[in-house]
Amino acid sequence: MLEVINLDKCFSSGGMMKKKYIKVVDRISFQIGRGETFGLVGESGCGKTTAGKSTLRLIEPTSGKIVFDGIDVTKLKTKEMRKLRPRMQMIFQDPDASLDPRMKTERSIAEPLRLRGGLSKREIEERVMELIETVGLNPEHAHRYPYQMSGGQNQRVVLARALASNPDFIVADEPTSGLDVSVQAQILKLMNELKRDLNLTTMFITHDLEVVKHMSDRMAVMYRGKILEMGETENIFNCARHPYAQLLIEPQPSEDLGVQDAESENRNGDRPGCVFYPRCPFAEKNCMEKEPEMIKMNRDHQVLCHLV
Amino acid sequence: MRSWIKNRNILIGLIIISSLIIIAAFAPQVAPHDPTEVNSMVRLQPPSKEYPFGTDHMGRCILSRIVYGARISLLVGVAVISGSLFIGIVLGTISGYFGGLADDVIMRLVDGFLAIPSMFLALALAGTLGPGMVNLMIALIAVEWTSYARVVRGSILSVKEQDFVEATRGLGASDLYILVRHILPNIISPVIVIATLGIGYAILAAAGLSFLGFGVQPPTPEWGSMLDDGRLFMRKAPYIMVFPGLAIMITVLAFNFLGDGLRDEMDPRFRKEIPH
Repeated sequence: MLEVINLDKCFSSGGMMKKKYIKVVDRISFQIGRGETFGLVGESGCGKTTAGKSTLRLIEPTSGKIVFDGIDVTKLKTKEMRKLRPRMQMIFQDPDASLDPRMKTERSIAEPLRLRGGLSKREIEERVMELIETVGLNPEHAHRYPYQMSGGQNQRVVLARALASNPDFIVADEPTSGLDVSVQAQILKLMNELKRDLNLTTMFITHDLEVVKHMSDRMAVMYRGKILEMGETENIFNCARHPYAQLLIEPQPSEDLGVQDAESENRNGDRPGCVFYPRCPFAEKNCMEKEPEMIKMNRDHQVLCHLV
Repeated sequence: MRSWIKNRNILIGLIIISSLIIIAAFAPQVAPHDPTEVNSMVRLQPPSKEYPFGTDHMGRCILSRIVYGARISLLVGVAVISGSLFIGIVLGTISGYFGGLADDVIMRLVDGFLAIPSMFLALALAGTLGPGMVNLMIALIAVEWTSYARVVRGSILSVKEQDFVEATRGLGASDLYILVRHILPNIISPVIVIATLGIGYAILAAAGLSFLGFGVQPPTPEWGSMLDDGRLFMRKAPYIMVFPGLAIMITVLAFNFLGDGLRDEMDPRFRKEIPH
């Protein structure tokens, strides 16, 4: 369904004279099968959101190839891309910011239908009410503005809006992290139901391991722009091979993993070797000098480490 | 729309402004005398039944001159702000939404204009272009457009980074659609507010330039030049200055009321009642 090959995203910073390049996503590759949910986990600042947005070309990837349903997305011109966009939707972290504050629920949900065209006013109205019901809202919510509703209700509107364009593929970027715990569970349940009923392919970005365990079929662990380990969720939770993945899943009390976050480290240095080297408890000399290659453990389990 | 009328600021502003517009439109019917008619028999007369606001040093009816002056002031105010808005929105949008080189060029141009004190720029332009109403308006637009360009650019920068803009792009919408349907409606409130306040400022500035002898030329009745006429007789006949001054004040105030009220009503977050 979706194949991403060597996706790279650099941001430049600094003035006109002295430009600094920061590699946020570093040659990542992954595949997502039809109807599958692919979880992308990592601490904040590791580039997972950028990876998600680049996959949809909401931000232009620096290099790499993205093949969606047989179409090379990276080669599409702006106009062709616009035609393809309804088939791939993104759900953002902050539901309140994802909705135009001046649009009532019904208008927000109707927008994708209007943009696509070909539907009469009545058909649009009917479809909107249908979607409102699908995501578990009441008809009366149709006439409310985003500021009159809770975060959970707004996230349901965002979901309905994304579903209105009949997507095949959804990137959900921390869709529950802005919500109360009780509401989180409801939204996750709803997303699971929708995924099953509509056979959606999903890329689920989160820092919450419980969520990824619950939601995804396959997963990848990201660190400083690189995918360190990738495979079936169950496999990774049962026998993670990469030291970083192991630390994430079973944090050691002695480990100061939480103190040092990825953003605080210098990321633009062209230091050779493994990205995790400075924090790796098992690091060897080789790790500092040579960059590791992806190693296939079995059919669908890959690890980026010298030591496996 | 109906709830807008309930807003007291909008109501007061609209009542005053629409009365001014009606007075200006029907000036020949409203004014008791010909505003340019000189009558040396009735010079510097205090308000009376015949001349409700008195007469000036040439025996002209002050009320009639104020009534005709409303035409000029409203026209100048609205024309200056329309011109500034047009330039400001177009350049500010290009600058804020598309960024890059266009942004740099436009913003340096704005900086250049802002580096010159605005009254000095207006005076220099009005002086260079020569007196006349059109030149007065050009001079004021040259001063005013920068603030609209900056406000529009700044608001667009803050709105365009929001997720809902990116989400709409994700639906396959074009830049033009996003600008017209999502970005402009979300930035229009501050623009409307400063535009309404700007009309007041433009009327004031136009009166100021006319007071100094640029802009509208005698004997055309204009509030600013009427103030100038009354200057020499301020002690003997203060009404020559008081009434045009009041006219300017009431007009500017009315636009301020309207601007304030519109801001409250156009942004849903400012609305007091929440419909259920």
